[in-house]
Amino acid sequence: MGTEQRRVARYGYSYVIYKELNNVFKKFKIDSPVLLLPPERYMKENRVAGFNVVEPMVYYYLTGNIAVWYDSPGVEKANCVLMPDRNGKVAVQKIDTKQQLDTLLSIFKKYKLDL
Amino acid sequence: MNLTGLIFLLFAHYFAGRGVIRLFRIDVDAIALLCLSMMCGVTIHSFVPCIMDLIHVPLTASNMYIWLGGTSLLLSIPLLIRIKKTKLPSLRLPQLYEVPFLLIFIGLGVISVWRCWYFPPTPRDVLTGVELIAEYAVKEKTMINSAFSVDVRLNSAANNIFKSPFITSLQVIYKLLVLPFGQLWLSILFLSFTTWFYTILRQVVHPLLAGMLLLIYFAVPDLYAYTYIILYDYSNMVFFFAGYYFMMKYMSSGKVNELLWVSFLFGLATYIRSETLVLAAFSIAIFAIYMYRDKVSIKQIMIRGGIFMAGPLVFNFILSNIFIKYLVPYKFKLGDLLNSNMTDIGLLFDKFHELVFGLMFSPKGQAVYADFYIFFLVVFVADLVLNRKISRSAGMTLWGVLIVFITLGVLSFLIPSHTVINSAKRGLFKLIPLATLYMAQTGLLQKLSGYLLNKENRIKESATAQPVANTKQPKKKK
Repeated sequence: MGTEQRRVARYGYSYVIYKELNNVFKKFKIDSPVLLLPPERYMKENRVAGFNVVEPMVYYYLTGNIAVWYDSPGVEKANCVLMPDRNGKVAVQKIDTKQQLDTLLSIFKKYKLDL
Repeated sequence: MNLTGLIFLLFAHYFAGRGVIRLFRIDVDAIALLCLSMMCGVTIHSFVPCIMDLIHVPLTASNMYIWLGGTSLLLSIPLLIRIKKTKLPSLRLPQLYEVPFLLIFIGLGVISVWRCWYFPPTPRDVLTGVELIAEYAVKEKTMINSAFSVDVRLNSAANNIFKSPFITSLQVIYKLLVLPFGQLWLSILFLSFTTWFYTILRQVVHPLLAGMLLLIYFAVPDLYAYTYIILYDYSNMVFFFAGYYFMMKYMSSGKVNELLWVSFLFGLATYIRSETLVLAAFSIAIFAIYMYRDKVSIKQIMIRGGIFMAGPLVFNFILSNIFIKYLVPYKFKLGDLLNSNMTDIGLLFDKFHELVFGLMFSPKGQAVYADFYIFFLVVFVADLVLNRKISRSAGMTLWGVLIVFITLGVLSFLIPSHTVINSAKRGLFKLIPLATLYMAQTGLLQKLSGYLLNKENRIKESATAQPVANTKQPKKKK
């Protein structure tokens, strides 16, 4: 196996999703993506199985892109968010307005961040 | 994988390490010399990327070759000066009864090296700290890079960016010169240490018992796992054990060069994990007690104690006041990490209780250490009951075991983020080689070893006497 396949074998499904996000960002035409990461508990409550929400540092290590928690410095720059879809899968949504971001933050702030 | 880079690094580590050993004029056998050279070489080279970065030399592959080559040449000067006295190693083939053990160890060694080579690093502690910094250091050619631009969580949970650049540097070196995942430096440390440790055990007990003890040591699940999981604890254990082992040797020889060597080894251990400073400080008590018993004057004890602590203090200064200060663009505040309620002595006892019953002798402990501690206690008690005395060397080793245990409990009390379940769990690795060596030194195993040696010698003697015995005498005619 090549190095990338070995990474997939080691980091699993979550890693594949995170890498796939680059294609989604291109599709959404987001040049400098800043991903808002949901709390792990929020994803679990919404029945997302087999997916780990990583810390911004790990996300940067795996993808080279910036991610933020709801309480991170620079959270106002978030222009997309990871959210659960109806089927318990992970989906990316674009954040277009400040109002959208504030709504998301108010939802996420109800959950404790587990490091 | 860049094989040329790996071969270059193997030679560079060897010559740098051997030069340092020659500088201290340490007299060890050929295998120990090879192993200690590799161990020291790897660790000393981890300073190179930090120094390069501090003087703004870009971290590129070509610069790394030049700097590592130059450092190795510089450090091997003591070797070149006394080249006429350099002896070729004389190696001895293993006995037939050692072969099954060696095959098991080789098998475990191959798996460990393969895991290091094949899979990327995974521990959260490195992915949110040193490995992240190393990855971007290779991309951006500096250790002060964009890894620090993300949310590094400077709250209670993560101090990973403030950890020793030991792993960062070695990851940078191996990523640039060998393979994208780095990590193979850990295999070098693991193989060198294990081989050296086996030679130590062989010197103390019969090789058959040495093989069995090493097998028990290998059977500690987490200790083996950390031979391919890059974190600080395995490397720290290697140098703490080396320091403690040579400290015991120094107690018998009293040679100044050996004391300096001990100080240097404890210094390297402190550079890898700064908490070792506390362990060194506790070890000095044993050092002082034994010297006092040997009727060394108080003044001499203080001087030698000062030399002993100089290495850990100097390396801790380099780590905290140079490397972390100038290579991490955030300020580290130790005060924020300390327990705010130091007067609550009950908490100290709670930590020791958790260490013993929540970790060492618990279902979790069973998964982490298997039956190692039970085995150790059985040997300890059986030796006390049957022999009723502990030899000087076994006593010193036993003190080492106790020091590690006490220090970890105290550290968990002093620093709340030094949790029993994570930090102390891995910290207890330092206890395992010492406990294994102690078992070898017990009167119980010494007697068994003597019995095996006698038996072996008798078999050898009878084998050499065989042709004479077989000589047929002419039958007397009736």
